[in-house]
Amino acid sequence: MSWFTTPWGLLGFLAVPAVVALHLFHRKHQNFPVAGLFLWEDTQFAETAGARRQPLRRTPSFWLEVLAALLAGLWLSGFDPWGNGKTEHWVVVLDDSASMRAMHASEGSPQEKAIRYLSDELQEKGRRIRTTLVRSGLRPTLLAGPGALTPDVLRATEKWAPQAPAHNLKPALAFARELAEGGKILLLTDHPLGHPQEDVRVISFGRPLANQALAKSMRKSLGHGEDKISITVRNYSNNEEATQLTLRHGEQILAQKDITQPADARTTIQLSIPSRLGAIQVELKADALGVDNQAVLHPIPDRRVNVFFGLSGETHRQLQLSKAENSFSGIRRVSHAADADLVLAHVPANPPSWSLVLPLEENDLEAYAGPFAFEQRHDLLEGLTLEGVVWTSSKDFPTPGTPLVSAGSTALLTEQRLGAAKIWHLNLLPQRSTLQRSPDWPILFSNLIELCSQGKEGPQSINLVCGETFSYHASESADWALEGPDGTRHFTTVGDLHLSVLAPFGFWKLHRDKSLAAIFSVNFVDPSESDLRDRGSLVQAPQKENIAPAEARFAESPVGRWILLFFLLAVLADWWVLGRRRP
Amino acid sequence: MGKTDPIQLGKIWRLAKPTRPASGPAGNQLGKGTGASLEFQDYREYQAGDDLRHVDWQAYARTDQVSVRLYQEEISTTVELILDASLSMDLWPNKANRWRELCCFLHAAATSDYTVRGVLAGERTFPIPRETFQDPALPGIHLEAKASLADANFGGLLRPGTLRIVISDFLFPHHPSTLVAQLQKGAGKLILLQVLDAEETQPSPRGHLRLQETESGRHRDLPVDESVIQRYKKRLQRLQNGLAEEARRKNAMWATLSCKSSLMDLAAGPLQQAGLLVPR
Repeated sequence: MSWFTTPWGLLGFLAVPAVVALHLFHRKHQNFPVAGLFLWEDTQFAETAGARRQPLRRTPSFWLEVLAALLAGLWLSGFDPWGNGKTEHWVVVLDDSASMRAMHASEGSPQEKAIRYLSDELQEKGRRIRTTLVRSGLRPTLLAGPGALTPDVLRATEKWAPQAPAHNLKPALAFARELAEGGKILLLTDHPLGHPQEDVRVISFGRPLANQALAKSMRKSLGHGEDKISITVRNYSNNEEATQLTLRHGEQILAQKDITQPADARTTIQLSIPSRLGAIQVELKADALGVDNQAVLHPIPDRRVNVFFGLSGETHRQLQLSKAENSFSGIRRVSHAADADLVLAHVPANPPSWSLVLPLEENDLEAYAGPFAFEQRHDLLEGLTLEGVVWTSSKDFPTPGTPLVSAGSTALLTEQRLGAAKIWHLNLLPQRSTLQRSPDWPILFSNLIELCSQGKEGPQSINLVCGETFSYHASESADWALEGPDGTRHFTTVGDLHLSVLAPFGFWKLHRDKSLAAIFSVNFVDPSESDLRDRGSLVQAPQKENIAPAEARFAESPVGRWILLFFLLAVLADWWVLGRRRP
Repeated sequence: MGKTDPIQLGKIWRLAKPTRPASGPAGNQLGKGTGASLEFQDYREYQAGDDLRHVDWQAYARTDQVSVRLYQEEISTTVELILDASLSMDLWPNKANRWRELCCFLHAAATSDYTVRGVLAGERTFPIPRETFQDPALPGIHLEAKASLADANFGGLLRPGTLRIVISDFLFPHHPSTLVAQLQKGAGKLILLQVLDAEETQPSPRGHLRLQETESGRHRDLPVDESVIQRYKKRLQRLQNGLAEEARRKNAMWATLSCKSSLMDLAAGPLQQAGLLVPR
């Protein structure tokens, strides 16, 4: 009974009550000749405005019109009680990898060829096909269906713009198998699969092409108001090729360089620019694949950690903090604890500042030479060994929170959370310990600064590579709006925001509570997609055909033609009947 | 049963000699006196308005029945058939056919005793050639006039003292007294025959209709249901009663002929009962 639920069929069947309503409420009067109108004229009768229901007169015209509407509904819905033209369902998987857009000068792109092929197939199969359209990618998605009608499928293909980096097609095929339920599966791609699939017909439309691409695009802050731009261009061809690299800031060209490089070679270009310059656009001369010819590099946001050193002079010296301050570019010293992201002191600072607290008193000491039990997976302790370390602690120093480093039953380093703020209690007396002189100390301090940097509000990275996740650290809940190539998406989060599977686009804009929070770019860098030399055209038949040959299944039912014929006859008969009724 | 040939049927029937209470119109006006040239023919029961001078008092004394004497009317030996050629006569095929048959039949029935003159009445009135009545289809006669009998101008076509037979549906606005007087003007005897189709005497409910008058083109949208039909029938009855009363008052003859009946039934039925026809 699936024919009964088709939109066209439902629309056709709506004509039946419409015909009845027209006959009930119609105000068009049939002409009736009379000899003496004065005998009929009736002052008791006054015509009223608007529709008035009249008794339904079951005239031949009424029955013919109802029959015509019924037949129209049946015809539009593809009614076929004998199942001669049984509706078939198939699942079509579209390879969403960016290389599907690689343009061949005369043949066009695999994407165009795939759409053309699909369109031709659907036209040939007529109204008796229902299609489920799946787009592969890092996450397979449904483009149309399940069981969509041909017009919906063709509309969906018009919006399809392959842009994913190289990805495994297995999740998409597994998804397709679930949807197909044993039916036919077709994969449209640009490179033949390594081995034929058991139940999937694979058609690849690719062509081996030469291509040059941006293999790396990077922007890094050098401090002192300078940024370093590093661009690597790679020649994915078997011959020497030339291209031109252009760096722009808006309309202003910052640099332009002609690059000629041998087969499979790469060229790296570096230059320094003022940090104040906003987004830098990087472009290569147009070639087979456009998406890997451009990148946008936004200025790196200042994510240095503001540190307030509040330890006693001796402890500060023993921990070599002055040396560390000069060594780490990610630190900015502040003179007030209230301005600090991280406070190193003998008492915890007030949130939201984070604190590393050490004991001040050297009473009731206890020294440990290992072994130390520590949480190696914790970001703060990543890379530490604590081998050969003598650790002297104070018995009076309180260590609330979760132990991260312990010696026996004594917690030497603990982590305490106060809302979004963290307090690390480091029970270490540096005057009588060797940790600060071991290689573990700079690692621990570096991890501490990195953790604090990550804990700062704002985006973790803004110049992303396609496939990377955009992360924004937010301590509180927020309403977000993300502007991108497909329009604006809205969502609400509590805490950090993570956005994955973002399309390559230069100017993603993230608004937090209606104010601009970040502009970031997703640049397409993927050697697997840029290297088009292994693309090819091939039809790989499934090892096992699940269904009867398409020609037999999709044959147009003769029932439809009969219904159409009877519909036309009913319309003609109604026209004849109405013509006869006229005087 | 085969179709009746009106000309053959006319050879079976003949027009009766017209009678009337001696002189003067019947009804509530007094007559103008007796005519010496009248030949006594028959009695009939007294009706209100009859001239009291023609009451047969001797018969009253004998029978206690008030009767008036009827006299053979002294009229011309010419019959004038005035045929209404308005569009409404051609409204229904049955009506038009019966009208044609009736014209031929009356012509045939009258020919043996009278000189028959046909007159077609419409916007223009003109005589109908005698040969036309030899064919029941009445060749050359078209029912397409948009004017009613009330508007017809007969000019000098009508002659005095004739037996004047008018065949129409009389379904047009008129004043009975004026119309009958107009048609009777100069005639020795006036006979009004109303021909109506079943759709006009017994219309059926048809829902909302646009009723369009054939002659004037005027129209009116009406829900033709039982109540509207009942009111229509009352008005039609009033029209017929008005003409019948006026005809009786002016000593004319009135008969309504339904097209549902065959010509043979009409001749043996209403036409004979009205005293227009007698068997040969």
